[in-house]
Amino acid sequence: MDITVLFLAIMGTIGLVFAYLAVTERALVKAIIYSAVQSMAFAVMLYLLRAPDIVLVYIPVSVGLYPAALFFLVGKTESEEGEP
Amino acid sequence: MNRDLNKKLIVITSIVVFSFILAVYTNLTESLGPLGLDTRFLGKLYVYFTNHEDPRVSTASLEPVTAIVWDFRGLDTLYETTVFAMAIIAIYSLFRIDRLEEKGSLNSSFTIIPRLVTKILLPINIAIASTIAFHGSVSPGGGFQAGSILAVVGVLFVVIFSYYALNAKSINPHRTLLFMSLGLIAIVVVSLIPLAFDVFFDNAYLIQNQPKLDSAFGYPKRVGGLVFGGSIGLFNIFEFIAVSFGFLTAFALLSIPEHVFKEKLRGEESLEQ
Amino acid sequence: MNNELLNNVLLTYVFYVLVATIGISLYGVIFKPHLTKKIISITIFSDSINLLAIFIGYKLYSIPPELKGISNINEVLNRTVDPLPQALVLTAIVIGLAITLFLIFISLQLFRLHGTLDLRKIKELRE
Repeated sequence: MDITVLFLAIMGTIGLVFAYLAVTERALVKAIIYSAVQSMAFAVMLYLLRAPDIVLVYIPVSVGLYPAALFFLVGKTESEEGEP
Repeated sequence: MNRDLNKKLIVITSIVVFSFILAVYTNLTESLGPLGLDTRFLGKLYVYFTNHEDPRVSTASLEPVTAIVWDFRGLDTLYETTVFAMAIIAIYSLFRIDRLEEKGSLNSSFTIIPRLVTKILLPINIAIASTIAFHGSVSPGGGFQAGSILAVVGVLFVVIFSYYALNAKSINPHRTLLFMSLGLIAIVVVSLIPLAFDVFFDNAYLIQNQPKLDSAFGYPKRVGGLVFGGSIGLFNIFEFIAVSFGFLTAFALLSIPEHVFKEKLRGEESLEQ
Repeated sequence: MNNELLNNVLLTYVFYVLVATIGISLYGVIFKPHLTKKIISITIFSDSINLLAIFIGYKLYSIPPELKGISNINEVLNRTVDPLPQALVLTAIVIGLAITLFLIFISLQLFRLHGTLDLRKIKELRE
């Protein structure tokens, strides 16, 4: 069994769990942090898929710029989701 | 209520059916997907012609991905830069603000530890971003990667020190938009120089990088003994400038405090009545 | 279980996990009424679609597409991953970022005009 494929499976599962947690969370700050952790798992998967150019774009964009802009938005507007 | 439930059921069923069809098709055919036999023929062609010995059919870079982005499919990248610039211009015209009159307090509300760490990290980050932009033809790197890293520098500066500190260094959204436009104009000039060559001298094509079979125009392959990549190196540098200043514009506009816009909206409403 | 069967099973599992992430993010985009939650779900959606595109170009026991310091090009040609999806995904990530930033600015303006970001309440306010 190739060790690359084993790590791909583990990181994929972690990404799925944190994506589900990000979508169903009511407090928006926690949802943004869950989405950042899911992006880190996807960044490790992109490295294992032998794509170094993409990793260099993906890490500042998805772990740095998206949560920063979303934190600005949450700070200026509401920070709790309403009733379902 | 019944219509709502029906709509949800239809959407979920179509998602499940679509994903099942996608999974079956990708796994059953031999040539598609990671369970396939061999790399696709088109990918092999791109890698083969990136650094050929014959200088009339090769690009001048050692990276197939950079060569595909800027030489083999350069028109796609030009259109993508256009879309990105139009989004930044739309953001800039949505938040109309002329000049920030008040000078808020320049004292940051953080203690000394974040401020000192930010002051150490910012020059290191700028150096790393410039390195990644300049060696895009030799190692994995390029213009987009370096632009995103420099945008993180801007975000860090705006969060730790406030927008007023950025304004005090006279980096307001109007000036960063000017620099982004200069970067975009430079990209257009590099694409149009072969056209001028075609009008005055020999035959040449638009967005041409290296000499072709019937044309003698070519950008330099090496500069001072280092691999430069012809027009790919120039495109990387100017794209780095354009992308980084574009993101800096967006985040400088995002960090303006809310009460400025509330007064503007109240002023416009009282003007209408 | 021999080696090849285990590799095939794990790769198929990774593929189904990616498709499930796409499904979850689509559910978040369509069925959650708050605008910020929709924007978070759109970012997860575009990330997983880009990852799926690169996953299709992968093959086992391969090397990344680099030509620096290689003397014989045939060894790279036989063992490399596909470089074409990487170039397309590079374009897609930057365009997605610009459009999502524009979405964030529009929702800020919407909050200033209506006072709330819940789409059901905005629908009631506009009637």
